[in-house]
Amino acid sequence: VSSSPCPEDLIARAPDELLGAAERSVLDRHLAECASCRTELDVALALRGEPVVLAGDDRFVSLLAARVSGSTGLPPRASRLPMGAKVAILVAGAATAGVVTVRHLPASKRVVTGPVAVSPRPESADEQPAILAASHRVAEAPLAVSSPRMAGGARLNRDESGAMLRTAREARARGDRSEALRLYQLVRRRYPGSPVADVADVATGMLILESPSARPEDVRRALGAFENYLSAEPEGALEEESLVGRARCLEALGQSTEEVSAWRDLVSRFPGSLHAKTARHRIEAIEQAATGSAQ
Amino acid sequence: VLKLIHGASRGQAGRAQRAVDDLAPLVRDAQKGSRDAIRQLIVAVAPGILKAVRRIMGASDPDVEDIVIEATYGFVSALPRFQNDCSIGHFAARIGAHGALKVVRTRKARPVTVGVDDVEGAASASPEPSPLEQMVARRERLVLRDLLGTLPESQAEALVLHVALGYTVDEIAAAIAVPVNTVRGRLQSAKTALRFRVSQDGELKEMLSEVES
Repeated sequence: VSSSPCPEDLIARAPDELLGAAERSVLDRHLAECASCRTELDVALALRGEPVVLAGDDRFVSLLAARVSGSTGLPPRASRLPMGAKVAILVAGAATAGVVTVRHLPASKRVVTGPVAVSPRPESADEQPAILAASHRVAEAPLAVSSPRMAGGARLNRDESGAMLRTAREARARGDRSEALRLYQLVRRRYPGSPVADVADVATGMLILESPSARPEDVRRALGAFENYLSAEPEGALEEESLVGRARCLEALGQSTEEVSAWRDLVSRFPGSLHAKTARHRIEAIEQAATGSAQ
Repeated sequence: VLKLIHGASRGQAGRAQRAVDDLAPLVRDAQKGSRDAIRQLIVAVAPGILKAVRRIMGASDPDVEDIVIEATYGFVSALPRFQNDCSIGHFAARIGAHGALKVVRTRKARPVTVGVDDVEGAASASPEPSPLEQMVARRERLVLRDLLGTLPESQAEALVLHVALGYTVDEIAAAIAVPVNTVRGRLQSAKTALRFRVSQDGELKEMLSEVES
């Protein structure tokens, strides 16, 4: 250890390359005899050697602010979710808020036998068949939301389930929705009735809503997943997302009265929600349409 | 070694700090429960939380966003207890750092392997350092992050705030409400422990001496 006092200010500024030649010289002399400061500088250089601001941060922060300020603190179930689950929720919220817009058609013009167009986002030709196939497979599988908690005695492996949800989220982020669906289904099968299965169910419902050619029965199954979640976990971590999903499904199915009720429910429970503005617009539009048709 | 660094300048940091200090009125409104103030406050401090978590975990760690979300909820919950002992930015970043350290401590030490792809990838991002320097830098980061998890919590916190986030000793003392000399003691102990543990990593030591020579 050096006999001279450690030049804390120089060490603090060195990693940012803010030293003049004279200061560098003083620091170099000190470092030659002070192992403690050498360690400090090594650690600083190593940990500061990676970028800490990335593309997309602004959007993430904006969503985070809307999500957190719209709630009254940590969701009661959040601490039970494994790593990956809460980001899945946030990203799912981003998708429904920023990307998915249900096509607004008068109820009389709704297609009830063919695919329900729920996303205006153009998909690549290669992506569509895979998404549709996966979406339909999901639709045909019975949803496990009403099964007993952790049926079959399965034990929740937080590391594994968290990793699966993370991988699903990454697949979704890069546009591979069929892979995301496959992973969510895997989580549901492996951990039926668990909190992670709830996350997977709601995320699956959202993916169905995003699909450009989801069939009415797909949307009804997604609606069932959201309603089951809201019934099983009325104050769960996915409450807000499920309320939004339920309203979106009802919108896609043309059930205007129920849709208004669903949006009102969302606004009353989450007045600061990112979706509150959309909710108010939809309520207003439906009520105006109803008034117009009555006259 | 300094040429490996691509950090923000002190001037930038100073401007950011002043901007954060300007948030005092917003903090007061948020403490009274204004949701809009809370939202604006999160928009202002969350980048600092992200920065702190990324510095500790690594920018590409898959748990970064989860930790930031948890920390942001923690920040809002802790707001009523904030008493202006430090800047609100430091207060928030400290919560982020604490969350990240908690995760680091629960992880098992990872096998430290650095492949050719890592070096080539890094080389394309910055042509200046040699492949060996980049490999050493990457290895250092992995080793140091694992070692951080082995330090006592108070020491790891002081070290991260000081060397990774650039807080002065006085700022750390204010942020964690302990005497300045206590912070100095914790930093000294942390550095001694790290120095010892790095010295036990023969391969890393060898690589470092190759670069230095």
